[in-house]
Amino acid sequence: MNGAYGPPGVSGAAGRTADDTAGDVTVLSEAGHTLVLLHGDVDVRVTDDLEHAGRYAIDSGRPTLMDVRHVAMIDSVGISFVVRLAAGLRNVGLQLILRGPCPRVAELLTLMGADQLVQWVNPAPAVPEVSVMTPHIEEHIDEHIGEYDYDRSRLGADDVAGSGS
Amino acid sequence: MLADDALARGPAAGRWAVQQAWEVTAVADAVRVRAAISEMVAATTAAPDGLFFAAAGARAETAAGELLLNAVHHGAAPVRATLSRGEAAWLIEVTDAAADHRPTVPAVPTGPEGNLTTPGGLGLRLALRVSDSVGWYPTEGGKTVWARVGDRAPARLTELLTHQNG
Repeated sequence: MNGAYGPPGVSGAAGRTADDTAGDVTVLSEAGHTLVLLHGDVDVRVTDDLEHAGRYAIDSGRPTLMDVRHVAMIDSVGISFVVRLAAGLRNVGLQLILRGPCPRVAELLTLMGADQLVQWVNPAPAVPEVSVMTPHIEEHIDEHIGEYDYDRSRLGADDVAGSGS
Repeated sequence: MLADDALARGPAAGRWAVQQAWEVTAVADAVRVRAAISEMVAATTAAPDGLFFAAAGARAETAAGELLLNAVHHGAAPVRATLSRGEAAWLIEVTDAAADHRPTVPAVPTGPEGNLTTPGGLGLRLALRVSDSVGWYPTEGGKTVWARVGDRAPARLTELLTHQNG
């Protein structure tokens, strides 16, 4: 093998550290549904937060909306979380609704053969078919979700069911 | 569905020139190397409009991240990674010291049983999806797992995503 090995860690990732890019996982208990907000790099570094969010969403037994608009990177841990949560909700008669667009997430779900497990609102352009909404779900989302633009100041502390790093 | 035999056995065919090499000791290192590989590939490979994973940088980032994560979680130190350039393609190689842990490709989890997040559980499957090919071979005292990422996305990837696009 050629090439000079640097010190443990890095060469070529100037200006960024692994901790800088770690994502956030937030779970909010909203009226009639659970809202999961994903932000930044959704990968192995937020495994515990994803597990917490998934268990909360399953245990709540309510429709779950997952906002993936601000996902910068997602790895197999993150995609596995989405797939398992969608499957878990489906098994109790519920559906995971993804708030997009996020082409990276949409394409990965398709590549994994799991795109049929979820529905999209404001769908990713690359996969418009999965956006088809049943009227009652669309009405529900319009009524309760509105625009969450990650303005944390809008979220009361009592509403936060869990938060990530 | 993919099977274990979807993994090629033996080194990647072709001639490859190592561009950079890293040692990886922890998840944080794997994340940094993943980002570095993504940047290096993206900086020298045109990213076409359209599908997100049409861009070689995106495919390299995902493939490298999964190979690195598997090595850190399931392999043995030392873990080393290289990025090499070949004919219209990049080669990501990750070597670790665990000779007895054969790379496997698990099924996609579609049930609620077990942990909601299984680190690395789908890593190789994901790498296979975004790469031209993925393979492995034993080395002295360990093994090397590699992913070949073409400048252009593999036809099966674009066909699948385009088909979904209607």
